[in-house]
Amino acid sequence: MGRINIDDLEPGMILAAEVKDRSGRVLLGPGQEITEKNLRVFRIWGVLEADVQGVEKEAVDAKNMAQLDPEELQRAEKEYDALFRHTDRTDPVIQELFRIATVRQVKQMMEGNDNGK
Amino acid sequence: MANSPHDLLKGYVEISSLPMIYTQINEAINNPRKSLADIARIVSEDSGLSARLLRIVNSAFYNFPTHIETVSRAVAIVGIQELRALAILTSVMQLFKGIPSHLVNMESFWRHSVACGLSAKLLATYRRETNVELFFTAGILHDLGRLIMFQKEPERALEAIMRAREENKLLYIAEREVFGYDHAAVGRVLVQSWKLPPRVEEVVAFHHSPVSASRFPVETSIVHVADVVTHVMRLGNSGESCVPPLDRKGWDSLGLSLNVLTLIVEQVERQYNDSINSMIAGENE
Repeated sequence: MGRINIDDLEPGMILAAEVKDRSGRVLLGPGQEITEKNLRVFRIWGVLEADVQGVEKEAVDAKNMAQLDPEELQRAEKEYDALFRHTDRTDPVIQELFRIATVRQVKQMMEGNDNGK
Repeated sequence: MANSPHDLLKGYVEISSLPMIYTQINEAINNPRKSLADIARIVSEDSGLSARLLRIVNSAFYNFPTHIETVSRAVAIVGIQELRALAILTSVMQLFKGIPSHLVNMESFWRHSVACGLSAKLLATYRRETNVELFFTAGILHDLGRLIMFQKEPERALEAIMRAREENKLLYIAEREVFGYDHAAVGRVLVQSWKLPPRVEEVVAFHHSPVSASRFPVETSIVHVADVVTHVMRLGNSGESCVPPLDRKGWDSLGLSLNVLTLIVEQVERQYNDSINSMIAGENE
């Protein structure tokens, strides 16, 4: 379980729970297959996340991380380990922030390299 | 040696009140008889604020198709709430000049302050808070007490910085050990003397311990989380080199989903890149 980020939704995924906009209006019900058009509507109405059948947030995050250069990722994690040394690393909020920070760092690094070419 | 934040500020007349420009704008905004044109006239009389305002409305942040030339147009575009926040930013940047660079890099300090303000404003927007500019203001002011410590007691401030570094401590903890109080307590007294809203005062006072905020815990938690996010993103620096601990109760009180963080970081990044130069340029004018 665990709702996944709007950025990680793909057409063809089946909703496990209804998707609501920020005022609580239902945009799409459980059991429905997400289409390209739905995704656009979700974004327009400020949807953050959705609960999708058979897809875990942890697995999606891990898959996204696997696409990054492992050496750069390791370097970023080491750097951020030091910056995060006063935080509670067992706290899911801190874990999410750590993941965001390291992924952002590696992406910036990779983009920087591309621009340099 | 000042034994309390009050002692530290005593007799420090230069910063005991906000510059006239802020007071004038604030009075005009609160006076129902004054029009937008009156407010624009007051802004025009302050070259620093006019220049900053025009830079900001012409930045990528607003992304306007045409160049905005006049202060009255600019005021109409940003609105009076944001104008008030910008007047505070301009005022504090004028007030705190000439702090030795071995204590703090002022550009980095303002970068951190503005980034925290943007993050707080976005978090407030997600929570559908009203008057989101108040969060921008509180973000700008949250670490200001530290500048007073640097200015009034540079030796002890340096001692706190060294202690934090050598003993692997958070700077605000080292401040408490060296001074007996931290920058948040100093900031609180400063904001009090400026007669800013009590909400801002409480946010500044408790931004490291939002559960201690008795009247405005949600506002305080928003800026607390914004401060953590800003440290995670490493946008500027106000003296603290590490990510400060997150108060879990403060986060829980906001009722936000974990997935909001990715979006906040993306949006802060974009807004920061689009606006930071126009916000903090002119620091040495």
